[in-house]
Amino acid sequence: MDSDSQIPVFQDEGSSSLSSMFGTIQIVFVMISLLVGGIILLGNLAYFIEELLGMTLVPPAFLGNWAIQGLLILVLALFLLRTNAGVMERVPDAFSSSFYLNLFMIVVYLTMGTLGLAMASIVVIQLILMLLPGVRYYWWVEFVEDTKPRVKETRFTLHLVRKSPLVVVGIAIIVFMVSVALAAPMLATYKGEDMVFKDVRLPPGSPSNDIKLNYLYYLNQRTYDPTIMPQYKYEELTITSKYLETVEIPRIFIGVSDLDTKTDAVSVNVTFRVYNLTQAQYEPMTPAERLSYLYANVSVVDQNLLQYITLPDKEGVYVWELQFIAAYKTTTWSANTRVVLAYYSNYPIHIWGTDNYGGDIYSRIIWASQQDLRIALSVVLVALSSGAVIGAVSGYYGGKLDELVMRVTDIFFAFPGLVLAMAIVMALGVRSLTTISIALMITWWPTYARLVRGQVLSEREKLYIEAARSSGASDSRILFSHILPNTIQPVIVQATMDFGSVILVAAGLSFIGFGPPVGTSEWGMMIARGQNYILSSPWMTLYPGLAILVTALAFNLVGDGIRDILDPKLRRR
Amino acid sequence: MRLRDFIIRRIILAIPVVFGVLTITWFLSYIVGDPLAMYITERTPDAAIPGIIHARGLDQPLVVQYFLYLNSLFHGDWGVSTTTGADQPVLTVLAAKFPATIELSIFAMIFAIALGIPLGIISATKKDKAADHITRIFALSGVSMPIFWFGLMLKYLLFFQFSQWGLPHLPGGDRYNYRAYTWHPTTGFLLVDSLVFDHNPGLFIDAIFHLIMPGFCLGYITLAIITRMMRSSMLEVIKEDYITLAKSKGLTERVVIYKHALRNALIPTVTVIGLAFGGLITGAVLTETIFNWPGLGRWATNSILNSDIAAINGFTLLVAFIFVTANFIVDMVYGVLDPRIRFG
Repeated sequence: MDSDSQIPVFQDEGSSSLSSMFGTIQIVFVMISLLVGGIILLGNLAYFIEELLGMTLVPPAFLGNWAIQGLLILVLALFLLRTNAGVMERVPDAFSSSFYLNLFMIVVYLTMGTLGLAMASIVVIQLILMLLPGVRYYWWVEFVEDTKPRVKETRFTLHLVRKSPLVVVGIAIIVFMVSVALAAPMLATYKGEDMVFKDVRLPPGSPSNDIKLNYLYYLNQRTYDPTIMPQYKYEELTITSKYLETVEIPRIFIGVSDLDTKTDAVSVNVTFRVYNLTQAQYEPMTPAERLSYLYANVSVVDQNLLQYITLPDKEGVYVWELQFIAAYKTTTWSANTRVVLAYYSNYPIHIWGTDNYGGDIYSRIIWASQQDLRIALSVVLVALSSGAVIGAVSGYYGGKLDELVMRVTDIFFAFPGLVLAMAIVMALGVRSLTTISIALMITWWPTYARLVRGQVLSEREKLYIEAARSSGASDSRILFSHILPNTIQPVIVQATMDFGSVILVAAGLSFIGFGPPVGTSEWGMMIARGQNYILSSPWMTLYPGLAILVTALAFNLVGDGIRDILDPKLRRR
Repeated sequence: MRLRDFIIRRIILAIPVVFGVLTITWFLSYIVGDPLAMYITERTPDAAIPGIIHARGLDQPLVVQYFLYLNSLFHGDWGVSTTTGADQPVLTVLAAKFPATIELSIFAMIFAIALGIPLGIISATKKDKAADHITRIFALSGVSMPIFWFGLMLKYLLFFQFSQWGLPHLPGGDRYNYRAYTWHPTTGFLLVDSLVFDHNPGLFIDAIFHLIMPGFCLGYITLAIITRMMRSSMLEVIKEDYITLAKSKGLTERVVIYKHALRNALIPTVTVIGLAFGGLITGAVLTETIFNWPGLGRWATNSILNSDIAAINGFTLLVAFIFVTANFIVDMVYGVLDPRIRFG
């Protein structure tokens, strides 16, 4: 249908220079990847050996975290290297294999911070190059032919998904949680680590007991620097409701003090003025002209160094101005002076109450959704990709390798997930969310290795694989572009449900005390904080728990529904 | 294959797993962590440390250390735990804490089976009706339930709020009421001891009441898993030809379901039950912490907070062995129930 109308577009000549450019970039990328993966792996190895020898060198942070990713990148890069030989000879199959491999690479690199982002952007450039008409000529038509039945199946699946209410509800909840996590800075009224000590354990809906000091200007200068300590300083001041909603009279404070003596006894004269002007009107005027628009002024002179201006009680745009008029502007007073311009505002209402440190539950839940979803995403992605590669290779080649891999997974299956993760975190010795996710990655990969291996085994003997093999396709080509895409469905179901389980287990781990010691918002840790106050302040526990339950339930609803949809026995009726 | 050969084959397959488990715990505590931490406590005098290092062979090459580790494990020397207050050998503590956890797990399991199998049958026989949807959502929320939170909420409602409202309420924690009853531990299983050795029915009933809430909390996930498995295997079985035959013979629905379908549908459920038993021990870590249950789980949590490596190592080993044994028994039962497995 669509592709028929598009085919004439592809009939332009293949550009061999573009295509070899793609090949070259890909080779360079493979080399960099080998280097990155190798360095990370060797670094981990070296660190490990140092540990054995009893040396205590602190490795750079990026080395410690990505041992598994390093290994994966090495494996994928080696496969890419092989397909790249085909790319150089313009074999269409090689192009589509490297297309899939590159997609894999992006997934792995995206879990690796800034470095990974840089590498992923190189992959994106390669993918764009692949899709340029000059290169597309060599492989696109065949690729579309290959994937047409697959695309059709996917369309049918989507149609079934739309008809299943529970799956739609689950997807809606997941989308909602993800957008809450992404929009956290806008939605949360407090920072995740904020503690308002006057607001300890307030019930839901309470206003705050404290008022917040906001700084408009803060100068804390020990050495004399005329650029920091200017003659005068001005800025536009837009008065909105947040300035006016204080429990006290809304006003702006100006304070000056001496940093050495810690007293107000500074020989200084600071004048603070507020004008009825916008900055654009203010700037071209002379000081004398400005005075006619003066709203209020206050001088901070010797021995009387804290003053305030009551704010106009309607919203509007003003300009504030500080003039530092010293009788003698010497280096001494300007070097040791603190000048502070500040206003008070109310803290926002605690919609879902506060915890025992005065942290706002509502905001902390929102910030925590970022942490928990990130843990779930990184654990599932890493476990999935490493497990899939290991399982596929072991299932495809069989023999001794397969036997070994299966015995190793047996051993991992001998531990319940939470207990093995506990032991790993304990051995690693660092209590942080990163450690938790590393432990869960190590715990989780065998599930996928088993699953993919089983699928590959059943797929390997089918006729179409036989056909591909007899037409001379390479092993990596058969594995990555024929077998793996056809084994993906149960893996997707498993991964979706695992998102829920990883969130549960990670929250459980941080609940029993493996999270970072202070501060960070995470659902399990919030419940851990609440458990000692469960009788007097149940809201500390109730809301974070509901967040976990709803999120995990959403993933399970989707996974369960998709399994029914993808099940060939129930599919077409 | 005869049943005996089948069992022997399974035992042979289990041996590398057991060694793998030992190796992993060795790897974690000796290579990633600090091996010395297993054998010293804050109360160990500094002067004694070189002696311990030498006696434990921690100055030997790694290979030798590995075999020394295996050796000490097989001789019942699992390191020293400090979590209980005094320095105690890990194995002693494990033995002392074990019955409480097993009692709780068995109670949770009984509860999960007693509710899960009927729910699964109802859900399957009333497929796509209201009862089915309610059961499915109930089961799915069980799988997605953070049980540490569920326990806290149960405690808040059934213990605290009920007592606020003047209703009869369940106890909020512990194994029995320490003020009202005395217990002389013989086997460590409170229910057995109170009836058989102490002849104290009051204590027995009190203990049952204390078991209800943690048991329900711990069993909920297992209940959900059993319900789902029962439902799907029942649905599979109902479609089989022999069920159609039984129905066409004119047997009542009740006889068909309970006499013909149930027995075959139970086979996969038995597997899940066996595997879930290992999961229960894990769940006990979280549940016991909340209900102040003096078992393995709470001890493990406390040892985490105390950075007590020997205790964690011992706990991991024990749980892994329980898990392997449970899998093994499941395999056996499966082989007995379904001869096709043996010959397959």
